[in-house]
Amino acid sequence: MNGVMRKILVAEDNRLILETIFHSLTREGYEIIKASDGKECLKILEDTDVDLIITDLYMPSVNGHEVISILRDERKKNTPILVLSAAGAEDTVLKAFDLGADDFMVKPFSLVELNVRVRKLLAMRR
Amino acid sequence: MASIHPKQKKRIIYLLSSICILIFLTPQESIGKKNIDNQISTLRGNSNITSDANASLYASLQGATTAIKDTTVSVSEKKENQSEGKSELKFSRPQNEINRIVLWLVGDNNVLEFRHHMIDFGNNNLPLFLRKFYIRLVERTYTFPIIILFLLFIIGLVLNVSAVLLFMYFTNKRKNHKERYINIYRNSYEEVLRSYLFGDIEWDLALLKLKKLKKTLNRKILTEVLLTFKENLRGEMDSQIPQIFIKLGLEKDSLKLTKSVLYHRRIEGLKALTNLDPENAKEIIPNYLNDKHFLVRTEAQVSYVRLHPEDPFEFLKTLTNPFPRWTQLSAFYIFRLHQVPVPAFVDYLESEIPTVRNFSLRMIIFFQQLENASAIYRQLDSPLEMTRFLSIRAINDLRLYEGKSIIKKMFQSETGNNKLEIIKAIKNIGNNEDFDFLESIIRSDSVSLKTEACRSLYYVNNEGRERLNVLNQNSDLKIDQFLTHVTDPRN
Repeated sequence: MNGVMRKILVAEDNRLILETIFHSLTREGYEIIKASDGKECLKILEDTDVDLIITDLYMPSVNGHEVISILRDERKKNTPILVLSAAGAEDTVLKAFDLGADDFMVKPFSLVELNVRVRKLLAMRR
Repeated sequence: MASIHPKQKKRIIYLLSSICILIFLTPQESIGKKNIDNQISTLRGNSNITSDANASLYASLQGATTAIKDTTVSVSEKKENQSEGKSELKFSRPQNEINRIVLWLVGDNNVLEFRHHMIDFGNNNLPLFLRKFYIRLVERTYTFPIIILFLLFIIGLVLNVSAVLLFMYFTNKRKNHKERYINIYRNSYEEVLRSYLFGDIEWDLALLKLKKLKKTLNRKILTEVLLTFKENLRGEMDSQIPQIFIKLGLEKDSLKLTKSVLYHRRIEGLKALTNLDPENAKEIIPNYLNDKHFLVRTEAQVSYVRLHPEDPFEFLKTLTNPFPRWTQLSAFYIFRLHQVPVPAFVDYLESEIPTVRNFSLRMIIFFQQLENASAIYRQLDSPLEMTRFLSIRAINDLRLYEGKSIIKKMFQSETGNNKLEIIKAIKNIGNNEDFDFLESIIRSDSVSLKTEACRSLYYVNNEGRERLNVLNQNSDLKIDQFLTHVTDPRN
């Protein structure tokens, strides 16, 4: 990764999944910032620039759809967003893409696949 | 501690003080004198007063009239009187209704007896300075028995509130303690399992770090952690997690749960086994497909779909209970989520259970299974409206042209919804031969049927539109508005 540690913000209300993703991506050499809901995610993004955002859709206070919508309207227009959700219905996936998500993974997900997709999205951003 | 609010405390204190004031500020003399006068007059009127004991009692009562403050009564004298059976110190009957009711409930003799005991207690046990106050209190209370009720009510209320508050306090404390305990061990187990799954530690070290596994609650927490991992992660970890479940012997707990009397525990056991020990689950699940509780049946049926990808709906042939909509939806969801190969649903159309037949028809429509149309036509003879409805829809959606004549014949005897469905089917599988049929419906009185018939005639083909225009020119029919409605793209 050319010596520069890429920053990834992970927004997930399930603590176990959040820690697992943190553990997995940290081993890949990324700097991971954790957020347990959409509100915290937006708050972190006010002060911090990240290279990629991984977000769940159904979270307390502010959900993933709203996060994507706000980010695309206001702040981080170019930051790639990867959605990771158990809701894999077609309309949910399409809605996420319509709002501005760059990729969508359905739970249960493979950590290996997640790493590959993260690498791809970061490469595109570069 | 869930304590009484200060304002409520003040109110209780004010209430009790007012009762005390009521007792002690009411003029003592007049009532006491009246009481004793009543007793004297009763005795005087009693023709059985002959003994010396009664006479002395009479005299003492006389004395008491002039010395109102000293209300000490000789208990021994009263007992003598009672043993002679000649007279009793009659309790002056209160005048108002409420007090009479109280006495009727409790009983005069009991009241009298208790009063004697209370006074006796005061005489024998209390110091002099307190005795007068105590006896006055007893006398006053017995003059107004309603106070007893009121006091009992207050005491009961206070005890009740205290009991509830104490119960709430200890229950909350216990609940919070249990939650903290669960959180601590859940976090610990998650960390250990994560480290093991990522290869940071070996199994032996992981086993050492998984503490207190002999406790049932801890094993339950660990099972939940493993379930969460399994539900959210796929790939390499997917195969490791069931191995951990077996290595730790947790499947025994789940098997035990499946035998529980409580339905929610059976569900818990089935869920754990389905996700974490599929081999064991495959043997056990069939026993629960017809369980007495519908939620257990649902869980078992959904698990069956998951565990038998080669034949996910084979259990439909052995069902003895209805197959409810929610179970159908859940099974369908699991089926799609895990991309299970689609079976031929026509195999289940001959089931004795109507809900199974209806489900099969829906699946045939969804998956466009044209294999055995005659089995679908047979369902048109079902006595159930929904089954016939779904069969007509299947004929429509699957474009089964041979079925058109059958559904037209059954049109007159059908219900409103089914008639609409038949007309909709004609739109897709009809031709010029059906124009007369549709026209007869347009000439009928039902607005909904007319609308649908117009729509079908309009969309069946170009000749249908021409026929509709001809009908429109017929001023008797007045189908302008129907035409406008069916040709509006918003409809």
